[in-house]
Amino acid sequence: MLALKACARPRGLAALVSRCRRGYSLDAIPQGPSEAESSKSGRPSSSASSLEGASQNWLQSLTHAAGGFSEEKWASTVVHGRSVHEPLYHARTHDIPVATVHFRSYAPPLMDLFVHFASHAASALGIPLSRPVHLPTQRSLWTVPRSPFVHKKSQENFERKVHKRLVKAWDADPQVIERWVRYLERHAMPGVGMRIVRWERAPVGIGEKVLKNAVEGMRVSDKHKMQALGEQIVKNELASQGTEVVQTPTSASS
Amino acid sequence: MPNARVLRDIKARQGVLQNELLRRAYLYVARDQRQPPQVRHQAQLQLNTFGKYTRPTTVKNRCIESGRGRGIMSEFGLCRFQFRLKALNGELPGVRKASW
Repeated sequence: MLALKACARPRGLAALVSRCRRGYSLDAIPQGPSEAESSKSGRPSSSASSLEGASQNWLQSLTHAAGGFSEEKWASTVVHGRSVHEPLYHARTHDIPVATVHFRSYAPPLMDLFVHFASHAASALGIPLSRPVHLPTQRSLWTVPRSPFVHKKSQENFERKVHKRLVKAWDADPQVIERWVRYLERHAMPGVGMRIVRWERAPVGIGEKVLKNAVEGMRVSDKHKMQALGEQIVKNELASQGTEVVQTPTSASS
Repeated sequence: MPNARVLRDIKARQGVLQNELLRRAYLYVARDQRQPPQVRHQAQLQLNTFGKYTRPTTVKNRCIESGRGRGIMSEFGLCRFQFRLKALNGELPGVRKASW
């Protein structure tokens, strides 16, 4: 009598090919124009690009065709339980880092769930993301006497472990990253802290332009305008104090 | 009702907050090598007239639960026994009994 084992959360390629009870994908390999090697369906590789694909990351070559392979297509291969599997990790187009997200928590399962959620969100927005990296765990230890008074020889150890994960985003536009960040902040998980570092690219000569604008803003170009503004301010002050507004004999503006 | 010592500490903290600028100014004058000695001496005398509840050395971390002055862990603001009680109760986030 075969007892069905409860499947652990499938990872990577195993997720695509596994026929786990909670959710499974129809096809291990997505249907693309220049389809390379496929483990399940023994389709012979025809195009030349497939040979180049073999030299790349084998996982990427299986999950990402040469053309634009969208997340919807990948999702359509999954029957149900799409969020059970790993998200589609888009290939980087220009290798330009745009954001890094640090997650910190006392509870690793909670944090892993949230990181999984964040990765799926980024994948749906088309942001190339790195796999979650496990940074070293910080451990604080406190040794404290058990008794409120004396008895130093009997003590108790307490610890606190801070688990960390890191996820890097590449290549996406600032608006897309802004969307993703706002989505994450809106659906933040209690018990998981998040720190986001973002980089935006500015054109060459930006510093000069900013300085010029600032200096130009400070310079008083029109003396009459300044005088009029000064009188306006005086009028406002007097009005707020409740006194009658006195007509000045000389007014700059007619 | 907090401890008498805790009340004194609160008073000290408030006094320090209000007088820090003045104290620093007087101290600067009293320690300035370029000033004539009479001025420096006067500044030091003025500094001596401040009460003890304006001195930053009077401020001491105390346990926020029991008011104990010793064995305080500044990360929690608790003395070691209160820390242990709360940790065993689960009131301190992330803190658990260590075993390795």
